[in-house]
Amino acid sequence: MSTNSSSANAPVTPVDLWRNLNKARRAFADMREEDVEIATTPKEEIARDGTTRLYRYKPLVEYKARIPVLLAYALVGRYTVADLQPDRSLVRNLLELGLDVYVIDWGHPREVDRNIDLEDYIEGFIHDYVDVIRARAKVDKVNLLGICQGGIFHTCFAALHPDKVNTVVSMVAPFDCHANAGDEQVDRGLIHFWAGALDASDIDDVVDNLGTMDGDAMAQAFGLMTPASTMLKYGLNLTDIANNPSQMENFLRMERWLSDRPAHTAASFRQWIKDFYIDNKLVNGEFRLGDALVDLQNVRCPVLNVYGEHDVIAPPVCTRALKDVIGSDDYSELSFPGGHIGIFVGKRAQRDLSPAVADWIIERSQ
Amino acid sequence: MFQHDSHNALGFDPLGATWTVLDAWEQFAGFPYRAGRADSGDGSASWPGLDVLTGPGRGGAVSDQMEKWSEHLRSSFAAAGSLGEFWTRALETTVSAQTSWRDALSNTASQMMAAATGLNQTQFQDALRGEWSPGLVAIQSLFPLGHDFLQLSAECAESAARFQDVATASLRMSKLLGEGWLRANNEFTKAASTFRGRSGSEQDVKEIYAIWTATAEPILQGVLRSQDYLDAQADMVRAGAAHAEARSKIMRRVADALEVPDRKEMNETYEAIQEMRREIRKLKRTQRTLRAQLAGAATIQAGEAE
Repeated sequence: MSTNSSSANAPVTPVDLWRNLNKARRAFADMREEDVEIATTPKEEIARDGTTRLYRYKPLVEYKARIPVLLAYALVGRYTVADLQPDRSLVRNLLELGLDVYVIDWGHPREVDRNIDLEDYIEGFIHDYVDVIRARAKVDKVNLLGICQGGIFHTCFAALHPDKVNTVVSMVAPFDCHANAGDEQVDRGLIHFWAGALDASDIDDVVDNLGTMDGDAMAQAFGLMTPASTMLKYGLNLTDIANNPSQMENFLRMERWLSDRPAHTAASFRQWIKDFYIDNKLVNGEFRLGDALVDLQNVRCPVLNVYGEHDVIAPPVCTRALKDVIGSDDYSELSFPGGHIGIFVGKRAQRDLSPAVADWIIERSQ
Repeated sequence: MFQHDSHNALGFDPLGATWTVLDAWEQFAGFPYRAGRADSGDGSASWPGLDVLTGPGRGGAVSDQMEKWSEHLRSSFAAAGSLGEFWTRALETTVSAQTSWRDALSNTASQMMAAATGLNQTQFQDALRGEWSPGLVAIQSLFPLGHDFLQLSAECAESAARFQDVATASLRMSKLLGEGWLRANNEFTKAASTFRGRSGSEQDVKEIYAIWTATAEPILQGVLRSQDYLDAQADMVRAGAAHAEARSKIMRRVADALEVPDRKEMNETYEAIQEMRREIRKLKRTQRTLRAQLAGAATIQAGEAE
């Protein structure tokens, strides 16, 4: 919050405060749509199925790996956070480091899509799009990069179709939802506690009566995890960035992504909460997609498991649990000092994380 | 004017009374249901009724005219729809069966509704014996065929009761959260009271913000993961789901009445659509596999030919 005084230690008068708030208000009002666009890295649509799309990003440099990467984000947010803005873009970084990147856009499910379940997402959409990439790139296998739920989806796909997967990079994915049961840190894993307090029949009742789960409702749940900070977010802190258009644009781009929460289909929500948060089936070897049992021991390809040291949504202990159940002989972990989103949109992530991930993939994609 | 029939439990003959009234109306004010006025031949208009009554050689015409008026009345009631028909039959039952007015209504209603709508006769009779208001019964008789307004009322009551449960659960959650915010505020006040700033500088304000976050956040998060809160939240979820289900029952009944699909039917349709999509996906995949096999076979053949 800047003041008219020359020194940051000078007293702040109510008049100064009022002036700064007005300055912030005007700065917001002067913002244009194009100032806060996100996901601007050029791409082209390759295929579509229902509300989902497969895009391929246009190359920025010569490719250093012949095997493409398929990126999948979670269902509870849009993939656009991985390409938030030119200087905070995991996608752009990977492109500039010589990778051929495809991305799945899950789109915005409607009520007619309420019966799309996890089998449809993994064995349906991901499987089809992997085949499309294999045919286009004339490769037998692809590299999979998944974020949060996307990491779990990709790992399950690799377990069911090891012949089609070259490597798996999983970022901030909560494989074991019960691993943080004894965690004393109050701010970590709140979603696990909330979901774990319900019975499977409660989830059935909620889903049967409410149908597709509204994105705004889930956004509220995420906001509830940090109630004191959320209260201050749109307050005086905004005056700090009033005089800095670049910072204001950064803030608004993140807000833009946060407000773009897709609905969660009823069937996939039911499965996700029951099979993962309540019954923890995946790491217990009980998770099924249709008739097929997902056995993580069948994952034989190299796996890189990335986790954020300060992640409160997918606590590190829940992410790292993959190590004990995966069948791969080439399993590595990469920790990063950041939160669930910060590890790939933060400044340090651009400098350190993207090169580490890209190098790991390229080394295994020749 | 009124014929007293000792066999009639009502103490008077309502149909006969009706005809008498209409007769008087015809004599003094004109009868609105008359098709036209006969010409007596001397140029003066006269009422057919009077003609019938006073004209020569018209033996039995009075009863013919009564029959016509009776027919007029019946058709008027019929034109008023099912309620009119209900009252018509009730009237006839009262007169012919010489039962009490209430029994006549009950029997008539039960017979009509049972035949036409399949409604529960006992329920209807119970309703007329005082368990439900006559107004509800009347509305029930007007409700489209096959629909039970009385049951709808019960479902509305159920929904209200489930809403009460939601309110109770919500209060419990709010109490826990409120206590948490009070504790957070108290801790913040204690910490802020020991803060020594630089007489209201910009940095001071930021540090006070930081004190708020540092003291309040752990307290509130502690509440959010406490067993009391988890139990209250679970109760809230269950109450909300039960209320949503109660509302769905009402909407289902309204949807049936309006002959539009309800949520359950729509969901079944969506499920059928999704099954078709899955089938299409399987077929496309099979098609791709076959094409690849054909292409492979063609390549082998071409190689062999060379």
